[in-house]
Amino acid sequence: MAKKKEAEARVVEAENRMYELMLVLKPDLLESAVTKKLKDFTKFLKENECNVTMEDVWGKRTLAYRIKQFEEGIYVVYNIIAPTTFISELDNHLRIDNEVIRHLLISIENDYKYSKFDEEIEEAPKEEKKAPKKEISKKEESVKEVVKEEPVEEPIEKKEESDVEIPLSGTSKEEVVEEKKEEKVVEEKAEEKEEKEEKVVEEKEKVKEEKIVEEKEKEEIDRSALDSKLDDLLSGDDLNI
Amino acid sequence: MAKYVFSTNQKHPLGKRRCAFCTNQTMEVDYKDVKTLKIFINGFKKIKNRYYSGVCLQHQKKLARGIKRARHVGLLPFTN
Repeated sequence: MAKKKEAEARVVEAENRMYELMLVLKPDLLESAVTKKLKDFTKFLKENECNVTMEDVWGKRTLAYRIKQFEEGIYVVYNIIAPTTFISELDNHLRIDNEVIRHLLISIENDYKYSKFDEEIEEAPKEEKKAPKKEISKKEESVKEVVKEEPVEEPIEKKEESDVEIPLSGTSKEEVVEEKKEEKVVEEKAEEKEEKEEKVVEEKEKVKEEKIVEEKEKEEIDRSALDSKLDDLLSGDDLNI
Repeated sequence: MAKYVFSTNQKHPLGKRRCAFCTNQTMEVDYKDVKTLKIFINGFKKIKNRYYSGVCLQHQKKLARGIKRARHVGLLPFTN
């Protein structure tokens, strides 16, 4: 009988164990709300004789699938030393909580060391995508400079070359886009220059016309002056002839 | 974390296959380590058979547990 009583006492006695807790919070919460929520939660843990050894906030992450109509979640990881009797209570508390979408409670061995795992795969390709765009912009600038320096006839030759190159060489999409952009720039520049030339020619013609008109007017004035003089002479009474 | 190379063990005959976790003894199966767990997942996001991944039985069991935990929390998908 005594042994049985001892066994019962052992079961009831609260044993401290290491646990790892992962929470997934709602993505709608603001940063201040999250900090407040976590403070309250740690308070709740300490009230129930838990020891929080580690706390790590991962931040927002995209979920692999939809949970409660949310596609994102704020991840938080805890390492706690808690009495075994409290764990079921904690589980219930988290299940009822509205701001916690999912939670995971695992028992850990005592020599467990928490280590971070970064996802570098998703970040690397984005940088690679950004890099060629800058090159394109630089190339465009260089093309503009070339067009400004050189006369109008040369870019037209360039156009023909680029037109020939695109179908023959099986280049990637980006290169094709670049070439097209260059074409556009060249065409625009050429059109502008042509327009300017036309304007200059028109202006010159206008000047010439004006000059001709002025000359004609001058001639007319001279003629009229001569006519008036003649009239005066003729009308005058004192003719020496 | 250092990068570990997981060889596709199918090239070797059955007798010479070695578990990827046993060879690098510093490795441990962790449900938060999505990078390594993804290696042992199928195109349909199912857990790979031990025959194809070449993992030993002990580590296969730990792997399955880790993948299931990651799925529950939303780090890994259940299906494609």
